[in-house]
Amino acid sequence: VVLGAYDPNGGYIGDGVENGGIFFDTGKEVWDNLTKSGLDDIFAVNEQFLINQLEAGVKRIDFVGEDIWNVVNSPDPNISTSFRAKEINWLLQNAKKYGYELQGNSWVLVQP
Amino acid sequence: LGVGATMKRDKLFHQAFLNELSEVIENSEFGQLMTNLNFKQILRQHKIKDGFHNLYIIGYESKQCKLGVFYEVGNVFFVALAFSLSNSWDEYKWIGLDYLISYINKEPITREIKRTPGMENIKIRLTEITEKFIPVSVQIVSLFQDGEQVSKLTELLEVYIREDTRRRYNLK
Repeated sequence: VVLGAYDPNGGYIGDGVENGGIFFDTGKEVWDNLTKSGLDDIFAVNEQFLINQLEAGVKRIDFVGEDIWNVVNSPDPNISTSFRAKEINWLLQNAKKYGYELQGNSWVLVQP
Repeated sequence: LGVGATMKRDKLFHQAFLNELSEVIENSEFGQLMTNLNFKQILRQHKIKDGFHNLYIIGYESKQCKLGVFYEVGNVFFVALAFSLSNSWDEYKWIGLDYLISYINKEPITREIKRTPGMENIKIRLTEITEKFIPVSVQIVSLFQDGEQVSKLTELLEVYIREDTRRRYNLK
């Protein structure tokens, strides 16, 4: 599974396409509908994607393009409140209980 | 609708939303605080973030201190400050007000997702921010009048955030 920043010139989606990784892309149409729906927790969609992958026992989750600590520790909320930062925070909080260990910029399954 | 008409309609929609957001801020205690601190509103901007997220920015200025009120639809509403001599809002190094307040009060950093769908919740969030900001507002704004001071503050804040992250996730 590949996570990271959106980038029209590649980013995590480009990495996933190029290297055969699994990635989650909400897409503009779905995003617009979610924001108009009044749903108060859109991140729940990303969270469910991560839960599905961890429960399926995917071998690793790689965060590409940036050091995860530069994202979660950024004093700039434009970075530290981004969806990718929320994904990192969620994994730091929850990946361990699914048997994953943080190694560098990746969460690796160590207890299948 | 053709592409041109759609773009025009979208532009009008974003302009109307910015006007509404600005009015909500100006008529709030936060707006009053901005006046008391000698800030002037100088920017109303819509941007696209991360491909398709609508980001609205209401910008204030007091000498070299820039203050932005940011609303990313479907994600967050927050206030950030920057020091700059430049007029280009895209170049600023923003520092979150929530982080600054936590640092000054030596409190854990709040990282809970602030859900802000709709203007009513924006008003609630704005009230929360104002209540926390008022006691330390003069101190914070005075820090942002000097570039060197802001550089030192940024370094200290980065250490504080790293320590907070370590504690929060029990990291070595």
